Amino acid sequence: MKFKMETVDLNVWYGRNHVLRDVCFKVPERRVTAVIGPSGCGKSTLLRCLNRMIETVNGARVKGDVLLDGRSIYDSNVDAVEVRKKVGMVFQKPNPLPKSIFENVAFGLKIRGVRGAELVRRVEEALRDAELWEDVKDRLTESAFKLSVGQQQRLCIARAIAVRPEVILMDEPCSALDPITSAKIEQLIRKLSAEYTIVVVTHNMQQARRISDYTAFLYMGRLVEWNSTKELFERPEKELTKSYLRGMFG
Amino acid sequence: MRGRFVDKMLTAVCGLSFTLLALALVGLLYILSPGLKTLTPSFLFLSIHEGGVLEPTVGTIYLFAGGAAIVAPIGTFTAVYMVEYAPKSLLTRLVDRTINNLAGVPSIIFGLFGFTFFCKFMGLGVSLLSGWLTMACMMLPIMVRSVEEVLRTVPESVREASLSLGATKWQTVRHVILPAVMPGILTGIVLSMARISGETAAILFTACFYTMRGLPRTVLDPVLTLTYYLFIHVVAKPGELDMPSLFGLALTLFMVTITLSSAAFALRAYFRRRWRI
Amino acid sequence: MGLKGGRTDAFKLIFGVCAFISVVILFLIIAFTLKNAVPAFYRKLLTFENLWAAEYNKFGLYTLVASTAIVSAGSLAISTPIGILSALFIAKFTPSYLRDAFKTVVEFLAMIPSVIYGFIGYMFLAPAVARLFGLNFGQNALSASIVLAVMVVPTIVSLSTEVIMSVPREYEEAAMALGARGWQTLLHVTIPTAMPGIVSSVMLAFGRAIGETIAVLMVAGCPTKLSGPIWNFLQPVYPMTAAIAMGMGEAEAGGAHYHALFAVAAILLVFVFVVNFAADILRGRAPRRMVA
Repeated sequence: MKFKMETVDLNVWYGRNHVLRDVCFKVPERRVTAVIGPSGCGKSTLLRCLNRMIETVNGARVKGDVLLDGRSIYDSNVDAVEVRKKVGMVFQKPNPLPKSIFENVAFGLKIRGVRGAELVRRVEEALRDAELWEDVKDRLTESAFKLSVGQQQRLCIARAIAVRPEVILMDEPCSALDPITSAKIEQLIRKLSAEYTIVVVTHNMQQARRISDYTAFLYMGRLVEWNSTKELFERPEKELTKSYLRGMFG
Repeated sequence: MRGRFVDKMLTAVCGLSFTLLALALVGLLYILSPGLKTLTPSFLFLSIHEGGVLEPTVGTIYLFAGGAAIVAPIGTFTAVYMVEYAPKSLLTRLVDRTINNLAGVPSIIFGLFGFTFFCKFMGLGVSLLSGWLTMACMMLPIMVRSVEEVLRTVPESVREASLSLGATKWQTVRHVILPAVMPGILTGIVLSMARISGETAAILFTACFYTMRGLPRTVLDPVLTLTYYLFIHVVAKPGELDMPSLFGLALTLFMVTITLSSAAFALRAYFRRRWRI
Repeated sequence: MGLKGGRTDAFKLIFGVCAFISVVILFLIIAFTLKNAVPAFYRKLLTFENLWAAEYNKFGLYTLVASTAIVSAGSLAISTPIGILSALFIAKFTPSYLRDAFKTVVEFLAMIPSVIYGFIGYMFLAPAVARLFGLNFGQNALSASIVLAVMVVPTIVSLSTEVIMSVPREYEEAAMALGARGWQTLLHVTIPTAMPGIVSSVMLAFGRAIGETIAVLMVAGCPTKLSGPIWNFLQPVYPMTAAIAMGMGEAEAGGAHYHALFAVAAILLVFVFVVNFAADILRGRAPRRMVA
């Protein structure tokens, strides 16, 4: 099995707070990997290390390494900006840019130098892949804020996939959405996994079970267990995992 | 009951205070109103040699337009540095304190500074250019605070979204943040211009000259402004202008300042509504 | 763990230099003011006597400083109660749909140029004061105080209104739930909480009053000395700012008068900085970016 991304003894501190401890997390290529665990266990932090967004957090300190295709992304001559061009992110709360629907999706392409007819084509392609095209094709110049929350999240997904990243990170992508919309996004995630490597952080165990191929269980900053989703949910090895899955703690 | 009585008294006293303020405003407007009769188009467009106020009006516009042109980029870039690039650095904290202090410096001291530094030390003499530079120094705090205020209304999530797409800080500022806050920057510019249009003390010895009687032909010529013109005629030459003209002059100045201020406030209100997402 | 910069660093440098310009400006203002003021202290041009007459090389600080003090104190005496009560009115006793309109009234007062205040003071207030008190001229500390009061009251009102309105509703509700009346809540909860901000606004107003030039120049009288005791508001006065403005027109560069004026300017700067510093401490400035 080929791992698209790996963390090697990853440790993170927020000030004095030791948030991630010696995490060796693996992300298989072109699969959906879920990260589950109780609130505050470090799931989002782990995600942010994978695209160096952790650096935008004040007071965060990182030790250890993260590999993309076997090469360190934290090397001193690696530009964080280049990393983020290959590893995209979708946030918990949809965060469209203060621009039109079209411009939101086009932004990532424009900064990569895509112009003209090619730009328009790729924007449409991304919106179709995110299953938003039909809803917005007649109002591409309207403000992105006019969309419903579910549509905004789809827009953020379209925006992320338009630039064809190698990995897509999703931080609780459905937690701000209602169950029906969530279900649709889950379908979208499964569809996308054919082409992209996806990591999804979720606090919803059932969701993890539904959409992922591999699951990692994080507890208090440590990676407790990592296995195929089927194995982890049906035959968990660690006691802690068993307790969590049984709903012993939130 | 005593309690209720005190409540009512308090409301009355407070209302009375506010009424005093409102009356002061109404009184001021009433006093200036005779000038309305003089505010004919010919008055505004006639040269001062023919009893109009053309040169001071144009001079005022020259002054605040030039000052704004200088201070707009500097103020904007300063605010961008403080909010986007280095919010926690020593320089930012220093600049923050400096802006506060600059905002409190009395205008006469800006005038003295402009005189010794721009007019004498830099050899520009009493000129429109010296006025522009002095005004730019005065306008800087207003400009920086306006742009700062508006930059801070941009939620962190927008910056995160842009960065996560692989944009650099500069790309984020140039393509996402600045376009979004442009109305706010415009408000800052108009607000600064409004402040400068009413300024007298700072241009007294930096841009205006007692004997100046026309429009500046080059930027090194002195300039006449509405404020200076009014000031001179009240303090130094009572009687040279008849009362109606004096009132017309005062009212013209008032109109210019009020128009600019109102435009700034309208822009700010519009901008605030736009961000209520 | 490194970060490659390149383009971004270049812009950070440019913007940083821009930001530094403001520091340079303040530094230059202080430097040039001091540079021209030092000879006055060096040559012992300034005295503490009550006489400011450039023609006789008499530069007595008492006249100027006492005048500034009288006029500022007078303007604060008028504007502080009216300002705070008006702020209370707008913040607490005005329905929300009217609030913006009332705030606009106050903002209008702030927008008016100082020379127009001076003009109106000179043409109407001073003669009225003269008539009222049977004087020959109405240019005195009283007229100047009134004009200054109107000019600085918007500062007090707008800042105090903001502070009073930002007192957390929970504090007031706690008091009301215990049975406190409106005025009791105001007196014991709202105003004490807002007090630092209110005092700060008064200090900022004080700073403005000290630094105002044109309006006071036109209505204060500008005599060579104070003819009466310091509490006499009906005497003409000569505030520091007016002396500087009047003096600069005549003083030749490098002369005694010139340096004396800069010395006064330096003293004025110190006063203003101290007052504004105190006001800032009270407000506890701490800017932060908004978090989504």
